[in-house]
Amino acid sequence: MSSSPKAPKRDLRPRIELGQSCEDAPGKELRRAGWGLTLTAPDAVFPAPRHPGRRTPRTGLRQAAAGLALFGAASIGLGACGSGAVSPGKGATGSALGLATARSGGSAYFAEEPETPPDYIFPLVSGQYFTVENTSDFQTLLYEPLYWFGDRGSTSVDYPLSIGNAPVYSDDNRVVTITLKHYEWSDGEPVSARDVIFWINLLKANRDQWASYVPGGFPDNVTSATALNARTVRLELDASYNPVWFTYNELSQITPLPLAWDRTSLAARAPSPSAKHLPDLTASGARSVYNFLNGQAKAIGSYASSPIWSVVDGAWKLVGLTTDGTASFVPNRLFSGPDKAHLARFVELSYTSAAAEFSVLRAGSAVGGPGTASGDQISVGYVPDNDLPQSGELKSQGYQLVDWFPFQFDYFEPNLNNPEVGPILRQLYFREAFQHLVDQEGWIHAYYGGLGLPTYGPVPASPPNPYADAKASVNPYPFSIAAARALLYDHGWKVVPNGVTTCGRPGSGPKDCGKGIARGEGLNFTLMYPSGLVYTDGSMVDLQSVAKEVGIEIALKEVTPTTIASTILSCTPSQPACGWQLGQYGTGWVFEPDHYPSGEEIFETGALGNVSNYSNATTDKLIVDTTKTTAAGAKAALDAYQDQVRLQLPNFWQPSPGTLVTVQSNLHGFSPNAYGFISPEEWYFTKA
Amino acid sequence: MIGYTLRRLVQAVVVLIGLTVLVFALEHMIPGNLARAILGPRASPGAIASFDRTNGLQRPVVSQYLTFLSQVVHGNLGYSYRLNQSVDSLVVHELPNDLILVGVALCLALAIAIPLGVAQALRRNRALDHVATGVSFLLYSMPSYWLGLLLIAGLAIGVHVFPPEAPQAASPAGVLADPRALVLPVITLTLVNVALFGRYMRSAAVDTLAQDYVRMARSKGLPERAVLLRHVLRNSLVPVVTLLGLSVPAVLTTGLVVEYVFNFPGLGLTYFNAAVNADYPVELGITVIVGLATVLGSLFADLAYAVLDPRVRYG
Repeated sequence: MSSSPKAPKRDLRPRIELGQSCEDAPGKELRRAGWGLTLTAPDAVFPAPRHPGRRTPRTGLRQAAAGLALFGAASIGLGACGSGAVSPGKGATGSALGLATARSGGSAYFAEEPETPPDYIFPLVSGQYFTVENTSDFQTLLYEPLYWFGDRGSTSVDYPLSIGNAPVYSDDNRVVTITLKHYEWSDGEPVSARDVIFWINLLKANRDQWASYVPGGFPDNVTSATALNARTVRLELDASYNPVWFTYNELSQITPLPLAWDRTSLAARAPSPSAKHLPDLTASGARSVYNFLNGQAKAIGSYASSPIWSVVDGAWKLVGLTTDGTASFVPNRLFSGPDKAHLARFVELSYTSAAAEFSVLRAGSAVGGPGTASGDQISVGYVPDNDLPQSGELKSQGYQLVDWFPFQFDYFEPNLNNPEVGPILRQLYFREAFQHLVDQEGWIHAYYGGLGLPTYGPVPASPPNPYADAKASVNPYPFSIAAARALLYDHGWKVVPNGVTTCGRPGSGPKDCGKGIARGEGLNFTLMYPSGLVYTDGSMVDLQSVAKEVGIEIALKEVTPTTIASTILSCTPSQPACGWQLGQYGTGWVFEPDHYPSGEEIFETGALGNVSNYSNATTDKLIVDTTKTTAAGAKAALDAYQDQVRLQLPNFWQPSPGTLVTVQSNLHGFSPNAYGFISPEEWYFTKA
Repeated sequence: MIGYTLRRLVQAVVVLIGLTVLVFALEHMIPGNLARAILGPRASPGAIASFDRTNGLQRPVVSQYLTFLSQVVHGNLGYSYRLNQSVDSLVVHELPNDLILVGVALCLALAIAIPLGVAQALRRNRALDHVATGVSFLLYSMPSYWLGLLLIAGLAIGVHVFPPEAPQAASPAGVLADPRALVLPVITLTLVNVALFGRYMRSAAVDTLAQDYVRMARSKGLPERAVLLRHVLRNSLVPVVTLLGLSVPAVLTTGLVVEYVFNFPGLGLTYFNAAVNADYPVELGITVIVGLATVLGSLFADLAYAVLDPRVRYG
């Protein structure tokens, strides 16, 4: 379960499209001499979708940061290896530049979501600090992950922007070889294979501190990690894995760390890359290093001046972070990546509430914290859900408005193990009937301010992605009270509209109520949902009202999100914690940091995210297939899995909310990232 | 007086301990798994065990409470589960700014409410009294959240006279250096408090004006100004002082709303968020601070009675 909707980022980056002939382009079969293995680039299987109207990439923008002239809407793209089709993705800013002239420099201000300011800098982050504000908006600006995902709304890995070249897999998919490009840390040392090993060593010794750790997953499934040379890492795996899955869900979790951090005290000298016997090489040493770094990460006020945290390989350097969460960055002049910052300064502003942020947006200028000049605007902000009807006002003020939908699906949970209603919820026909009562299109219109996407299965059809099959955009259980009523009636229920429907034909036959359901048992449920979300308030009340029409009584219980998180848990029927019946988190399942939409963390029996206690042998097998098939079989395996889960309804599908992002009129280069990252190094101002 | 003060201080310690016991017990009665609430539903069993171990949550509740109490005695209010800061640093950082905001607003409110209340009492049931009463009721019944938004809509968004945010500087000096940004939040707090104090002041002054000693003072030929200042004002201030002493928690309540609307990070909002997000150390730490301030405020109010009214003696 990942983050709540929040503001993102966009780009002018070079991007390699399927079919281009660049060496790093996805979709290539590679054979590398020396290891005697057939090596497959995993992205051959899932080509990136073509965005409508993509523009021709051009070289030159980065080089011309000081004086680049933009030639209208079609001139912004960049190409790392030749030309290709281009145009801004839907919602990308900069599509109406006219004769505006780009300029380098300037300060951009980014509005953080309220309540969760950045407060943890160490990328090996535990669950309590695992927020979008810490990871996607803060750490990745300073410390580049090995692979970059989600650029320009794409759901694919972006090798041109990544430190690592496309990983290559051996014939049996048990060995992965990763080569690194030439990147440097700000202390002048190269980003090396040893830095990747350092990360893996820390993870292996401190699994419980890693928010994304799943028992049996990364790094458990890596039996050995070796730096073959300064720029090559070889991972041996405990089984044969689907290369796409392993790249998108496991290698995606790697962030190379500088060896300057491989110590246990500040007094110790920063080790040189050639040093032997560094502490991370033993488990106890790696734990000590973690404890030291975690301790250093507690001194928020000294992040900017810390000899540890100031060693970066990202596009930005931190120059200030207040305890309130206002973070200031300047470009890392030694950044080795392709996208060097155009801005002179980037500031993330903290807000006590969405209402306060919106007031600043409407007023048009921010007091803006330390260093904000009078009259500065929020460069990239967001419209709170409550204020979506006022978005027209913002447009008239000159803001560009961009819809942002992360790659996610949304749902609410039945507790299939609840001792009272579990037997009812375990009946597929009942779940089908219940799903028919969810009016997704109506909810989006009435409660989501139009800013929602319907969910029909575990692999969303939007944003466009190569994983969803043809059925993903078809609702198998469209809103229909009549269909719900018929399903109940056909299975022996005495349907009492506006009363309580009861079981009239107990038994486990195909036309009976189902196993464990007694004669006369009624359809009464309690549904727990989080307070403070406009769309959830409305949609849950609507569901309650609609359900009454088929005699399903739903008692709504609005609680804090924390109560939800501590209550809606997987359980066995005998446990006291199994008392909840229906519930929802208010946030969907965002495919971050696992970017491949397989279901092993949510729908597999016993998975940590499987709080509905769903268990189905067929589904389990299909999930295993998605993770352990070959690259050639990946598409078919994923199709089979999503078709099964779509109809099985382990959860009830509901619309995924989006975010309406505001972009200052003369700021360009922004567009939403599919996984919620921001890339302010791509932003730039134009002269009016 | 010294003995009385010492007794009250001992009482304050007892009250504070009782308060922390109550809050601590309530926190632990909340159903659900705390570690899961903090770490998220995908937390592994190992991560949950590690969190519990790090924060001593696997120990008996009484033992946890005693540890907390011992820390407090040593000046350590705990470490936030979510904000990666000690509670001490949160208090040190946010309390001064809160005190500036609420302090300025309270001073302004008193400066307006006291003469206004006396004036209303002197012109009881006349036009000024009716108008002031109507305005007071209007302001008092208006949620400060709404009032703040109205002021922003009118003066920040409408005519751009003031910024929509409170000062964003981290230090008190920085906050004071940006008086324009202080205007709207201070007006919001002031207007609400003027209504409150004004009503109390009017009521007390009406009572005082009917006292024999006031009639006596006038009959002795004392100038009206002296009557008002020496007799009416001084005696009418007693209920307002009581109110002031007990209004310390307003730093959390009224301040919370202003902090929320005007983007002014302060203890009130931090406390609210801690309660919502199960950040128990922050909740407990701020409870201690505010509880302490409340009992001390009450004590100071009692001591102020003796200054205002010579008949009051504490032995």
